[in-house]
Amino acid sequence: MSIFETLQWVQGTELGIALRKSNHLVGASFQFAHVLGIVLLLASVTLMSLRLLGLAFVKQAPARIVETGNKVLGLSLAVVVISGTLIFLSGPVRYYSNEFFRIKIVVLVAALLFQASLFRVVSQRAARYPLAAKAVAIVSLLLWFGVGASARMIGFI
Amino acid sequence: MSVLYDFAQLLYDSDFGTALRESQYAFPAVEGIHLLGLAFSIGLLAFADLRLVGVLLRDEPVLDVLRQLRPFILGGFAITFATGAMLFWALSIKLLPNPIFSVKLIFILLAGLNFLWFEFGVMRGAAEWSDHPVPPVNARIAGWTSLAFWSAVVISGRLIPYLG
Repeated sequence: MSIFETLQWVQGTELGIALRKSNHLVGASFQFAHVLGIVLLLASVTLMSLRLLGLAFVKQAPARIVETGNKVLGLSLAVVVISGTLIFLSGPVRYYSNEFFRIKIVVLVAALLFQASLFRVVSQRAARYPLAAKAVAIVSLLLWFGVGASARMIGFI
Repeated sequence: MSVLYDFAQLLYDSDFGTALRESQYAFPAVEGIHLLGLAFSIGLLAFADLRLVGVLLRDEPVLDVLRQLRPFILGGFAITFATGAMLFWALSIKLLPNPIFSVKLIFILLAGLNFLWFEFGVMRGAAEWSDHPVPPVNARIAGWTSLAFWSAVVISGRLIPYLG
């Protein structure tokens, strides 16, 4: 089964139909959760990056700020992914046909992999490798704000 | 009211408003910056608020957390308000009759009043409890109120296209 056929099948499942036919307020409430989650997620990435770049909280240990940022990042990521999946399932074929949606998913996967691997390893050793910590902070900012920017573009085409 | 609508029409018909509204790239860019800038303004403010209510960074002094975040939060709000004003300039007569747009402005006003109460009232005694993991009740009220009002601002902003 091709991706397109799979998505058509998903769209025809009871969940897909129920989400598509649900009240506008239901769809809107997924959007509220999604956008509030995005603001908090990007803020946690920003907080950690400001510390790693030496722009804020320089008196506090980097690991301390990264720990706090990761807590909020994990929670907001859960909210964003769950609400985003529900929004996607309300029209999988339509979203998949949107070029920026596909770009966003690719950048999102890249951001997740980077955050779970290099960022994790380097940010925990930021005191010893300050230059590498600055580099992962910049890449993390670019990736996550890239996800946000491509997500915003979905609505424009 | 008609003075307000006349002014909105003037903005809408201006060269800048028309150019921005009809631009293929500038308009999405301004909208994108308005949204993503929230990470700095409302997002970092949420971290300050969560310290104030005793949820996050409990062993860092409140005054230190606020001082560290302040320039980025203020910079974020400068970007958010500047891009918001540009979007209003381009869309004024479409936004003005939208009831949820007025609701959004009211929540911004309420959040602003809460900020003034915090800044010039609650903060006066801050030196005494800055080190406390959980600040006193008036500080916590200001923190939760800020979180609630700014969330309401974001939600009503997201609702604008639904009712436009």
